[in-house]
Amino acid sequence: MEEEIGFEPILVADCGSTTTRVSLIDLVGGEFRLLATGETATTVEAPWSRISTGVREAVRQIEQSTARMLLSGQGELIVPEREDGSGVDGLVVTSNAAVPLRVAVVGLISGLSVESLLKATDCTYIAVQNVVARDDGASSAAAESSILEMVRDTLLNRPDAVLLGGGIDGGAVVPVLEIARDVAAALDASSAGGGRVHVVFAGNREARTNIASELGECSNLRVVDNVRPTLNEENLGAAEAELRNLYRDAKVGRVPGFGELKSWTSAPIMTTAEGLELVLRYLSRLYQLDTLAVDVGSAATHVAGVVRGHSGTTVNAHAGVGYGLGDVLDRAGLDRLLRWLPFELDAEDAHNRILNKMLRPMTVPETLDEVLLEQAAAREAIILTLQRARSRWLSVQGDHRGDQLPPVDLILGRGAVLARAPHRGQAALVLLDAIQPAGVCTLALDHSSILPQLGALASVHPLAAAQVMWRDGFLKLGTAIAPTGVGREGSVALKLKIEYDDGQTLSVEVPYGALEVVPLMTGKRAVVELRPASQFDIGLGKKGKGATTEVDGGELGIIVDARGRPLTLPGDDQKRRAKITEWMAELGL
Amino acid sequence: MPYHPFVTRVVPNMVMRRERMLPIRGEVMVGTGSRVRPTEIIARAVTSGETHLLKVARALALDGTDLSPYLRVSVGDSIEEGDVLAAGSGASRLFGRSYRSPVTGLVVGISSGRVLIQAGSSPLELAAHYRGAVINVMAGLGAIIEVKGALIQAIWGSDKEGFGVLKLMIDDPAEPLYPEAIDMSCRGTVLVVPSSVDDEILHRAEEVEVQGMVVGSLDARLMSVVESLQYPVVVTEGMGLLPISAPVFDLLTAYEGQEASIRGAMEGRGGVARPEIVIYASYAGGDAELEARPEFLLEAGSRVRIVRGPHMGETGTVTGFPSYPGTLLSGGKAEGVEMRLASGEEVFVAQANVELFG
Repeated sequence: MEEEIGFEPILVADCGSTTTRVSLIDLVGGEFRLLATGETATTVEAPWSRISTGVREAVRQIEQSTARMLLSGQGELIVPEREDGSGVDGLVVTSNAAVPLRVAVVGLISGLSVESLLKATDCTYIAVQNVVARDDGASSAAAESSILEMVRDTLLNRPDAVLLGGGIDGGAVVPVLEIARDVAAALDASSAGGGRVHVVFAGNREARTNIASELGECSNLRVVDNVRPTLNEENLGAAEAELRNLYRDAKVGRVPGFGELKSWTSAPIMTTAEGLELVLRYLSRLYQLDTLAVDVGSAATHVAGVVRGHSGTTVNAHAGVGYGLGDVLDRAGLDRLLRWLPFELDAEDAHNRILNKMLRPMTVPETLDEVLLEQAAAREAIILTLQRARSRWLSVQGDHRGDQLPPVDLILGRGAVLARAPHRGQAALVLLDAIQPAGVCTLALDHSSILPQLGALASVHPLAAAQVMWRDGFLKLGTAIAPTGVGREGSVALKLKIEYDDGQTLSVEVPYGALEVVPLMTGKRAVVELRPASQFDIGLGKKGKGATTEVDGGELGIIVDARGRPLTLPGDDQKRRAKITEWMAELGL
Repeated sequence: MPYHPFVTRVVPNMVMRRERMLPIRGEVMVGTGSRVRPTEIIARAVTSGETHLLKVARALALDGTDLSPYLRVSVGDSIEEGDVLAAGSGASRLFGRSYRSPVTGLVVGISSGRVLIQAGSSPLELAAHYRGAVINVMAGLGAIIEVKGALIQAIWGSDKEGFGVLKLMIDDPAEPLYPEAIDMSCRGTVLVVPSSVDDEILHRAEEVEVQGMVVGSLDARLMSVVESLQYPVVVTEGMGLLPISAPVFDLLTAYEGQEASIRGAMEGRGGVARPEIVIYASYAGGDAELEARPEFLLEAGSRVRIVRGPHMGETGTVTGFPSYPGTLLSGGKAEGVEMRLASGEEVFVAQANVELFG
């Protein structure tokens, strides 16, 4: 920790696909605190074409709000801090401003190697261009067709990388070698397109030498541990690490202006997803919490968590509430999106508005209609990403309750659509509707949009990262209590007896289908006795079983979500809108 | 406070450079310094239909994947169905055995015991699309053309290109266009429709063979119709019912009757291409502006248009920057600008929702 001494003040920045934020961290009363934040448009695209321009602009905003000099007359960041107090001792940056890495996934068997390879692609900002399974289980014609499609796409629009796998360690070499030869033929024929395609081989260990002789000449071959060393074992770590490296090198590192930004930084630039994952792991380890975070960005939506010791991540590189709206619209459909609105919105009008946001993703909603439409899209982006996460890692072994989420202690929301919602209740409702947590958990927001940067900061200054995270990193919305089960509309689903720390008590009965908010201010705690009706489970794995627990307060208090799991919206348009209006009213909206 | 806003270039006289690239490797037919016309073919390539991955080594039961001793064709060869691709000869252990191509096509790759053939090839020609001078040639790939003219950037376009004389269809952006106004006098022109269009107008324009269409806005449900048309359509404002904004309309009006290149292609995130109209006209107002500028800042006096919210589509001038975030109609807060609309009304708009004309 010696190197930390005197390492302050510090700037931390996140360059998102549309917004760049820079924050100043310094000692206040012996403790590291977040002092100021500057925010501007990300300047990767024309006419700026220089990521550092936006960072410099955000730093200038901090200069103005704090009356500190951080940039030289030439616009260079002053590092280290000078005796006159100008400058900072370091800058730490996270970014997801680069476009996704285009990857072709090539393996042998759909349900084995290909599935594991696809899981590995969830680790960072990746667009899967082709999926090839030599034996797709359906027909050899289908397999042959997917190989030909991959070859054709490689010739026309070469991927940035091929993720190749197949076979268990010590198994037959020939099948994976055959498919490697198909890849080699395609890459060799497309080599006139300039540069070599990266190939990450994560298959049968015994095939490495042969793979090297087939692909070593026509690609930048990287060999990592087999993603499926045995039929029952999955080992994604090495493949994920290599894909993350590739994204950083081939995409983040090639963003215009990256060189200048890198020259200012004190640590390697991390992706926003990596920064957030580090924070979650830290929280889980330190407080023994099961956590789940959803980051809804303009281009991508990221779900990450640590549940019962298993950490997982799903970066949905195309689903977002700006650039990524088209994908949400294509996959979810307009009807599913509009079902979350408490008012009628003409489908054409909604479609036009969504496309306009996609064309100008940096814009912010000015009217309530626009806010609610964007939040509806956020719900669907989260739902789509959670579906993928559930199919790949977010179903802890032993939990076989369909779409239900494993119980977690903390749900963390981030992204401007949540953190900048005009009312905190709107953010809470998006999280409850889209994630549908079960049992008792804390809802919080990364309201300062700083957590990924703190994850990156932890590598050079863990004390500062921990102190800012603790003091400024979260905004607690409150405690959500969500019994699972189905009841009769209006019948009591849950009885609560709340004992506040001043000794006062409050008894509440919440009917099935209702959302109810019980006041409990930020910083306060209360003891809550929960008595569910016989057909409801409060997260104990047994219907009707009650419990007493201590809960935290927050901006909203205790939110009892007795709408049942899975949440089913009324099919009738008018009834559904009335219900949503009722839920919103309960949250003060 | 300065801010880097979204910028739309609407410039009467500019020098710009445009890259013209083949999608696949081919032949470039112009040299550095050549003057080119928009319709002139500057590069050619051969595109293919189906791809065939022939596992020749396996079919010939070779021990390895090295086909070289047996090959009868090379990469780049055109072959007919039935032509021998590989065969043994003399004392070869493959004596008498051969592998014949199941298709007619072009050999595009030989590697790892496989022969890749692209069948059904057809020539692809790349037009200059712009009038200007070639300043750089990338062998086998394309060229960079330096162009002088007016530039108007649009926000959406269909992925096509056209060239023709600009023809203004209505004088007032508030007025609707009726399909019958599109007659044979429109043939070969680039139509400017300041308001929005409907299905009938789009098809009528196709019937008379226009070269392109510039519209203020488009209803989202017409996007698939537009994409199926032969000519490019570019949208200057956005989706819905928005007239072309005054600065864009004024420039188009000033250059009516001049030749223009219109391109609808757009490259999203991280890309540099926006749909655009380049107009070739002499300009007496001063030297041509360079496309790259050191700064585009949103400042008091900046000419902007509002791209979201209740005033979407309206234009005006920035009059001030409040020190603190303002409250929006939604109840949310945002850094904003004060601006005077063309109508004279003073409004507060979120900073992120104004777009600078530059």
